[in-house]
Amino acid sequence: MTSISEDTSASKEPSNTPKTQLDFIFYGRGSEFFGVWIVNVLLTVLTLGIYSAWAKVRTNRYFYSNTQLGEFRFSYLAEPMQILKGRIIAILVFGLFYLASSLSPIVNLIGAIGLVFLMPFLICSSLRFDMRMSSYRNVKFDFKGKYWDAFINFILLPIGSVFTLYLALPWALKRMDSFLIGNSYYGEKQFKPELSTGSYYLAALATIIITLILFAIFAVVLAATGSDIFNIAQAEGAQPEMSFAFIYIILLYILLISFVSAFYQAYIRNHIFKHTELEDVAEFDSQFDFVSLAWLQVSNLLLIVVTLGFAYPFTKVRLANYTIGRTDVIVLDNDTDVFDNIEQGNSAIGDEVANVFDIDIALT
Amino acid sequence: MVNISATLFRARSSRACSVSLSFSQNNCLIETENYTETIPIVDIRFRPGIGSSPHELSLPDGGLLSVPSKVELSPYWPRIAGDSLLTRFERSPIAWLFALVFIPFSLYVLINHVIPTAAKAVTPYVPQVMKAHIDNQALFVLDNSFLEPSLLTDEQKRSVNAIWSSTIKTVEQGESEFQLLFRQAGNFGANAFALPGGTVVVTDELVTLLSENPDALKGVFFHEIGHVKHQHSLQLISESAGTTLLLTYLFGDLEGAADLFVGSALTVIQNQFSQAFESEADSYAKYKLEQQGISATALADALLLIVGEQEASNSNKLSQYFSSHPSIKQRVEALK
Repeated sequence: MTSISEDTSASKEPSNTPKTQLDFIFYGRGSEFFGVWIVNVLLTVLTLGIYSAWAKVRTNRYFYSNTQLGEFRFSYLAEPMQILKGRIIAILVFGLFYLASSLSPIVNLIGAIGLVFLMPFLICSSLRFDMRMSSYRNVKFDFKGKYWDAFINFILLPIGSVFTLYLALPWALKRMDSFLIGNSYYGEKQFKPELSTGSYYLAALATIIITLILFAIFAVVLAATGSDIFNIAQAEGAQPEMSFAFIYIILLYILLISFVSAFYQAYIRNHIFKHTELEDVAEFDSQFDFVSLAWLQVSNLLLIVVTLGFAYPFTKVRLANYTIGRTDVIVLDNDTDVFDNIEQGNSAIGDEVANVFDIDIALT
Repeated sequence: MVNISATLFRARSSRACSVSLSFSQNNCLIETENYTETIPIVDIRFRPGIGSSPHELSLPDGGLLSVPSKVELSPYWPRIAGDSLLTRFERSPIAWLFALVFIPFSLYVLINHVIPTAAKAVTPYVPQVMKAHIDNQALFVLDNSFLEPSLLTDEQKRSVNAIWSSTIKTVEQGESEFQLLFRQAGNFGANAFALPGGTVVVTDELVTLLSENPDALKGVFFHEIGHVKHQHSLQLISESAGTTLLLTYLFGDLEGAADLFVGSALTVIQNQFSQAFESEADSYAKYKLEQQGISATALADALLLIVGEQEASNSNKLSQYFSSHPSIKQRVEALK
């Protein structure tokens, strides 16, 4: 894997372009964002949710315009009304789906199948909206993924991999990431991922081994410390109910899942960034490591729980600092002009429907 | 006129150049060493920086001006006074304090009063067909997870059915909606539950436990019928749908594990509702039992037998929040 990366970087060398690593800094502060966030929540509650579209724009603008790459900040361009319209449609669709599916199992099934065919559309349109609303140096990003490509990569291959006993799943995951990144543009320049299938299999294998080891430790810890609590819970038998034992097990479980998912996330993100290039413009690097990432996620969750949610803005700023602090952008030529060729006028509909149905597609 | 230094990006280009800005009454003047441009202020879209991030000015031709946040630009765009008001709120500790008190309070009112009231208003209009569908679906899920087919003998079933029919006869209306089913429960233990359409399920364990005490079984039946009469499960379904929708809307962008936390908070809140439901079903049962000259202690006996006196005496505060039944002690007291 390392040899591949050396090979490709060597093949770029001949043109002998000077490389410059740009400073990548997040200027947001937890205390400052707390004010933005709490006013957002207050106005959202007071307007019974209508303000949430304005809140989303304000939050995104805060994070984008506090992120500085080289000498310049990013911008978030969406207008609240675009998002509000999308949300109204999303709520109507969500409400109808909920009502219909509680009416009968058959309608529920039809709705679920419809959702499967709707999903590739939602993925493409929400990514397109997000990218087109993001700009850097007055040049917008774009996403040009097609419906049927999304259908193959996000529906067909993952379902198909079930019939290979999930043996093909890492390959399918690699295809998904390649689809997401390879269809992304900055101005007219395309992002070019050269991901290795081997790395996805390695990541999957290591994740499974770590999961097994952690589950063994989980079982030992539970047997050593939890047996008494657990016995009491069983003695109560007559009424299965949430108790201390249940909370304890859930906490251990969250800890375990956080570690495992942090490992996979860190490994794959680093791989993607190391092997993606913005054609003729920039290379990337990422130094996530799984212990610090798991610690960040677990401590953020604890902060949110302990403060009943009020630490949320601080946890978001911590995450942004971590992400940006561990990402490098290396420009191949300092004087590249990147022209913008994107037409105006989109709606946020796809994005918002995806949000309400909780279909989470992460780029990293 | 004050000169402001800013960065200009021309339309469709990422090349940056430093410019100097100045404002007259109606116009904005953009100057570099070899170039000057005058643009009417009304044609420029001003987006004030949030916190300490730079202001952005979108020019009519698609160009972008980035101005440091220290520079005061709002006087030139008096129409967006709302934004500077927002900024003032965002920086004011008094506004924070108000929000810190007001947000939990209004969420509490919404979840505890507004949504339940709305749910109560909606449930009577749900048609019986839909409720019967819900029963079938719920039973299908339960049969495939917790419940096993009943192992009672035909004779046991016959005597329980006799008690059931004599109970049903006294229900004012809609007795055809009700049906009794037998299931074996395994871990679920001695219990009974009612589904919104009128399906009542008793576990073999409960039938065995109360075999010597037909009045107690009658009390349990009335309790379950009370749940159906008051549309409790339907109300719970509507409430959970409403609350989920509300919280998804407000905190839609929380990530995975935090979602779980919101979910368990919901369980706590909803279990508190259902404590009120239990009491309501108890008082229905009490009323019906006494109407037939049976003492309400019959139900109290059943409760004590089901839970075991031990748990009733040492139920603690925390488990009460997670438990769907109010402290058995309180319920037994209420029935006496």
